Parts: sequence; C-alpha cells; structure tokens
Amino acid sequence: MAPVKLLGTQGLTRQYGGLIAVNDVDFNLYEDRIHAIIGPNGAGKTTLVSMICGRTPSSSGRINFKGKDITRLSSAKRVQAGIVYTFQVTSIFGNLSCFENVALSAQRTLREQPEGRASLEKWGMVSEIEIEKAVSKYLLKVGLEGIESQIASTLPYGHQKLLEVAMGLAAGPELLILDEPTQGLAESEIDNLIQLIRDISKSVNVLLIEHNMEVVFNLAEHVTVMDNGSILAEGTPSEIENNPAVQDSYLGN
Amino acid sequence: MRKNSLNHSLLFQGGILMLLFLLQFILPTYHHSSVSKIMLLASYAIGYNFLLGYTGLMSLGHAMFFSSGMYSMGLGIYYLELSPLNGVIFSASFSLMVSLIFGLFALRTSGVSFLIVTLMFGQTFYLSILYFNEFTFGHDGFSLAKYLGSFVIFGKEYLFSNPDIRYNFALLLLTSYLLITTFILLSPVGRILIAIRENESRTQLLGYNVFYYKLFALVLSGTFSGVAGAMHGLLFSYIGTTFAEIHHSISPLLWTLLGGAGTVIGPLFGTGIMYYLIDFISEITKNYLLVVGIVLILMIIWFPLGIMGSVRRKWLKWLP
Repeated sequence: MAPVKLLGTQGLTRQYGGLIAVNDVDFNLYEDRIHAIIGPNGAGKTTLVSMICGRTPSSSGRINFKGKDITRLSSAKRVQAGIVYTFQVTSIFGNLSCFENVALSAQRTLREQPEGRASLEKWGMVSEIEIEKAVSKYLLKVGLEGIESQIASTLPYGHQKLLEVAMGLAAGPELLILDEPTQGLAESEIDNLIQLIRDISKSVNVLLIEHNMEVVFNLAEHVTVMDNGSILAEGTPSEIENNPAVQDSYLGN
Repeated sequence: MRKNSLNHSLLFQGGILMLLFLLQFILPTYHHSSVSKIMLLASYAIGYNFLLGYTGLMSLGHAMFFSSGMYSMGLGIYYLELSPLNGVIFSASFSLMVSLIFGLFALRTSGVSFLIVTLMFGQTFYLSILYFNEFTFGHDGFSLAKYLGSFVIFGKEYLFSNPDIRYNFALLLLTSYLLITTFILLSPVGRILIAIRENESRTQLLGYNVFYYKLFALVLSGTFSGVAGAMHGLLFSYIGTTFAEIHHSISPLLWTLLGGAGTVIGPLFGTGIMYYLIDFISEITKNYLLVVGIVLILMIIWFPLGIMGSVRRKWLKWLP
C-alpha cells in the first residue's frame, strides 16, 4: 500500500530581517511512520515545525495537512485539526497542579467528541468525572500515575517533560510534534522515553526533532536532515548514515 | 477534586453571607449603612476581579462600566419612565453592549497597552457624560428619589432608600455574584481563563481561541460592574459623575489587590478593610490617601498575593 501523505509544505520560508531561517522548504510527511528531523543548531528545525504548528507565521510558502491548505489557520485551529506541538523547553503551567495541566488539554477533545452534546456543553461544560477519567488515562500512559495533585513546577525535570507529552496526547493529536524530547534527560529516562514514543506511534503519527543520534536511529523510520535552513538529505536511517554530504556537514565522521 | 473545592467554597462563602445576613440585626445604624455600601462596592470589585484575577487583564477603565450601568438605569427611569426592575434589566443589557464593543477594540492589545486603552476609554466616557450635560445633568448628577416610588413585599410597602431594603438588596447582589463566579471558575471555562492568566500563548497552543475567552471574561466583568452601578444608583437614589471618575476605576483595583486578586471572596475583604481604613483615618487627618498609599506599599512588599491569596497559600488550598 502506498504511504498516505499527511503533511506537506511547498516553498516554506521564514525570514528574520536579513537572516533566512528556513529557505524554500518542501517537506513531506507520510502516515504511520516515525519521522525525524535532525541537523546542527540553527539549521531551522524548530522554525520549520513552528511554522507547521502555527506558532511562527511563515514569510512565504504553503502548508497542507490532510489535503487541506492550513497556511492561514490560527495555531488554535491547527491544534483542533490535529497538529499538536510539545515544547523543547517545557512549557507546562507551573503554578497549576498536574491534574489541571492535563485537564486543560483533555477537556477540549472531550468536548469535541461527536455525541450530539447539548449546546451548553459546547461552551466547555464537560462533566468533571469524564475529565478525571481522561486525565488518569493520559498520566498512566506516560507513567506519571498518582501525581494529579502535585504542583507542576515542583516535578523533577524529566517528569515535567513527560507531563508535557501527556498534555500533547490529551489534545487528541493526529500528528504529534516532539521538539527535542530527550534534551536534559538522564540515560535511564531516555530509554524510558524511547519506549513511550514507540508506544505512542502505534496510534499517533510522530514527528521528532532530535539531537541525540542514538535516539533518532533507534526510533525513526524516516529521517530529514536540515542544514542552513534547507533540506540537505532525506531517507531511511541507514541511507542517511551512509550519505557523504550528511557525514561531511553533520555526523562528522 | 474540583467537587471538593466547590463544596468547601460554597460552605465558606455561605458562612460569610450568613454572617452578613445576621449582622444587620445587631449593627448600629451607622455601620449598618456602611456594610450595605461595602457589599455593593464589593460586588463591583468581584466583577473587576473576574477580569484581573482570572484572565490577568488589568483595567483602569472599569468606572466606565459601573457608570454606564448606573446612568443607563437612571436615565432610563427618568426619560423612558421604566420601572426600577426594568431599569436594572436595561442597565444590564446596556453595560453588556458597552463591554462587548469595548472588548472588540481593547482586546487587540494586552499588558500595559491594554491598561492605557482602558484608561482612555474610561476618561472618554467620563468626559462625554460632562459634555452632554443637558441630557445627563453633568457635574451635578441627579436624584432618582422622586421617580422610584415604592414596592410591596409580603403586603408591606417599602421605599428603595429604606435601610433594610438597601442592606438586603446589596446582600442579594453580592450573593449572586459570588455564586456565579464560583460556578464559572470551577467549570472547564474557568480552567481555561486561569490558563490564560498563567500562560496565554501556551493556552492558544492547546487549541483554544484565547480571544473569545478573554472577551467572555471582559463582558461578564463589565456587566457585573454595570449592574453593581445600577444597584448603587437605585439603592442610594443618586446618579453622579463621581462614579465615572478615574479614582472610581482605581478603587476596585486596590480593593482587589488588598483582598487577593484571583480569589473569589478576596475583593469583599479588600473592600471592607479599605472602606473602614479610610473611614477611620479620615477622622484623624485630611490626608487619608497618604496612609492608604503606605498601607498598599507595605501590602505589596509583604503580602503580594493579598489577604485571601496568602490565606489560600498557607491554609485553604481549595479556595477558588
């Protein structure tokens, strides 16, 4: 079966004054495989996915998601469409409890379930019991069960990252963008996270931005290499590993 | 865990309201009238706090909402010969409209720019009242006493200016505001509003159109303030420009900060304490504002969360 294209960009560009952070990028992402973007610092990886999820407006170019042009949609609309971004530097609600953090994300997707809800419920009147169930489910999924009442900023860093992933999952993604999920984690936590991402990818399309090559070659089924705002190479992990241009510019040996 | 919070806070607020209800039977005349006034102003502050404490938007123009409610009620009764009840309903819809239109403009800004825009709108509204003085009676304001008439409860006739009526209507308004805000804040919508205060752009990236929620908070806040203004006009039978002046925009900010921004009951404490503080000091010196200023500075240094904010942090974690 031919792979189904989920996301595509045409000529996507982002300019900051004289600096072109992302230059005329045609990026395609197909369903049912873990896709990774790698590249040196400043290659434009985060800018590219920021444009995809709508955090950063593009200077020019188009973005398609599931066959629809989403270039002009607000970031909130894109999340509703299924593009969910988890932050490189964790961006949880530090003053709120872990329950509140995940509930915030979960209550929107519960609300949107097409079960013919009354109009009041469109204003966010989902029952708390449903929300509590969903929150426990997502916390369990990332291995953080039982921490509901803890204030999010008091969690250890690794757990904050997992909480961020739980929030991402609760947002009901079709495409989950994980921006450097392993950054700042200990070895044992990384192994754990690899397991989790593999598990998540069974039901959700995952786009991974990662510096840690071990993680990339361990997880990704397709790799895009970026350098200087452009795509340098694309292919399977082994193709990338043996690509002379990539070796020169990035992998180093 | 939210249900717990709801039960606790309803009990807590119910206790305070019950206390206020019983107080009217023992308070001497002077304090009886002061507490009525405090409850009305606290209702205004609760409306103000809904925007500041839960959405994080600081306004310096709420006197516009308060006085738009007050004036639309008063002028409606004067010119359109509305009944007092219809006057209040008219003022609610008028202040709702004012806050909606205002919100569509002002919410394009945030932070300090929002503060300035609210200040500008507030001043414009105040100056317009003065400018159209033939219609609004300008500086002098006007008394409603002649137009209000009386009404009958349980076969007994009452005037709006009756102290018991004033006290219990103010208590009724305060009760309904407390209940409505508590229920909204403990609902999923409240969770989104708090999230906007904590981190607006992150909330947007959870798939919420932040603008609509801010507009909702602003309209509710403006309408609450407007109806509080209308009730104030009704119960004190006086409509005047002092309620549109800038200091009447700053007051609810101070009451809210003192009582604890982002706590439902905080504004009531803030208003009460500040009211009696000014009352007490102005007997000693004319420069009572100086003392108020010092108290606020000390407050900001040692209790930046306000009274109920500190109480919540220390003891009552479930406080909404």
